[in-house]
Amino acid sequence: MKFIVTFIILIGTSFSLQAQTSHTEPVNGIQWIRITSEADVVIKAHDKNEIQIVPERFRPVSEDKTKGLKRADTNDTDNTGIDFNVSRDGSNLLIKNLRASGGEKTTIYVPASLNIAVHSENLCNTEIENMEGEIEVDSEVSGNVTITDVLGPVTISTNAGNVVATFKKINQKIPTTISTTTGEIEVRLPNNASASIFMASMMGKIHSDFRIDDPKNEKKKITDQKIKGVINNGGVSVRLSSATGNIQLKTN
Amino acid sequence: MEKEHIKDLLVEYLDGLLDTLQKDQVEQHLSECAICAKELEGLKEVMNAFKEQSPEMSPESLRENFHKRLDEELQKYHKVVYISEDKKPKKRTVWKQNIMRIAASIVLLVGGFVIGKYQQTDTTSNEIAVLTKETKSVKQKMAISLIESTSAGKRIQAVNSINQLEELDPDMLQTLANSVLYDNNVNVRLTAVETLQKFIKNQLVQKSFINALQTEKNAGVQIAIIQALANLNEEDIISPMRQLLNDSETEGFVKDQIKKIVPNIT
Repeated sequence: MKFIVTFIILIGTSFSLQAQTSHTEPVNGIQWIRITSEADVVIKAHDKNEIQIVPERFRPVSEDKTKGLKRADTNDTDNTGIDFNVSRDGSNLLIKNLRASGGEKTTIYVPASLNIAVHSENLCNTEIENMEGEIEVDSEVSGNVTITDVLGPVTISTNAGNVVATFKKINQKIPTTISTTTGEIEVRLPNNASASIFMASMMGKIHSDFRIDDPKNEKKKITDQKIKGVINNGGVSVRLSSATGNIQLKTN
Repeated sequence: MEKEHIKDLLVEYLDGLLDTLQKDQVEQHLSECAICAKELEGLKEVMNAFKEQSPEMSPESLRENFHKRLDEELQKYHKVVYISEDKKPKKRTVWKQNIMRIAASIVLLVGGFVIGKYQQTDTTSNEIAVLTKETKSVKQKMAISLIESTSAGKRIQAVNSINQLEELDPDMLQTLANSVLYDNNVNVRLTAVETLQKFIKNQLVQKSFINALQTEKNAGVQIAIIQALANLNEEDIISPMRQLLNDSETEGFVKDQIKKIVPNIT
């Protein structure tokens, strides 16, 4: 009898432990996923109509010394059991990663069509893959931003963080804008992508293997640290700028 | 009686519809009768004025088509003066007897036509102006509603679309100035600074840039503002520049940029 009880408790415990390895949230009525994080986050597209938050390593309950406590600075509580606070605000799903800077990487699986906004603090690196909606990343300190196989538009700003953004296609309706203070910017567009390009770096160097045409003869009006022109006859505005970082605009 | 007869023939004479004998008689009379000659000059003026509007109008076609044309003109130009039905010459005899009334009608018509056309042009240009204004305000409304979007990309799109407007009224300048000062996205602020720097001579723009310099923490935006302020009088910009220069949080390359623009700053 004692054995059976112990067995049941063990099974129950393992289930509860398993339940805390990830968190799933429905996304009906949600248009924007807004993520705040100090620890690395990876956002990947999946086919389900829900989001799934999967930390790289889950913390056993026995190690969780913060259970039932609030983050003293932000008043955010862990309402998922995996050190995340998830809440809704209208059509926004707000996801707050409560793990400290430099903590474990977390992967968040999201329906591809949703819009993503990430506010990354401290050392948080952000990776976003295969998303089809709008992408906004604001890296406040030194986190790098890597965006792969997206359709745009993309709005990224970093301070010291480097940006690598690879586009499958580029949305022609809404502009794409990337700026850094000291970080490097590397943008890869399809060879046939049409865009109106503006690239500026006060101290960095600007390189490209695209043929940048200058139909309005505007290039001469600005210095060699600023490039204005069109690729493939022009299209949506793509603006890449940095104070001291280098900028590369490359073909895929 | 002779004079009446000549006056009756003047319209047709002017249009070259008289036979040689009649033409000679009219010319003979005109050379002797100052009243008829004066009449002819007056009629010539009216006819010429009318011909300028309707080059192929002859007295015959004028009579036949008078009301038809008037109706056409009325349809084309709603505001042409209306000539009442009782003035319509029903028979040629009436036409002959009332030549001066017809001439007066022509004057009225020409005058009305000219005034109508003038009014029309005026109304049309007013309508165009109103329409342009409406289009512009629709554009502005769109831009303003976009600028309140939660999407930073759409807000940048709004700033870009404002950038394409030729003139910005104070409301639009204020909207952009607010973006420079208060938008939480660096890229939106940066794009707004670049759009507004064309209007740096405007006091509102200068003021908002100088205010922004005191609150802006992003080095990229700071540099954009510093460069935009570069062409202004040193005395206007030296105080906020000095403040930024002496702020320990200001990046070294931002300080370098300030020193480059205001070399004498300490």
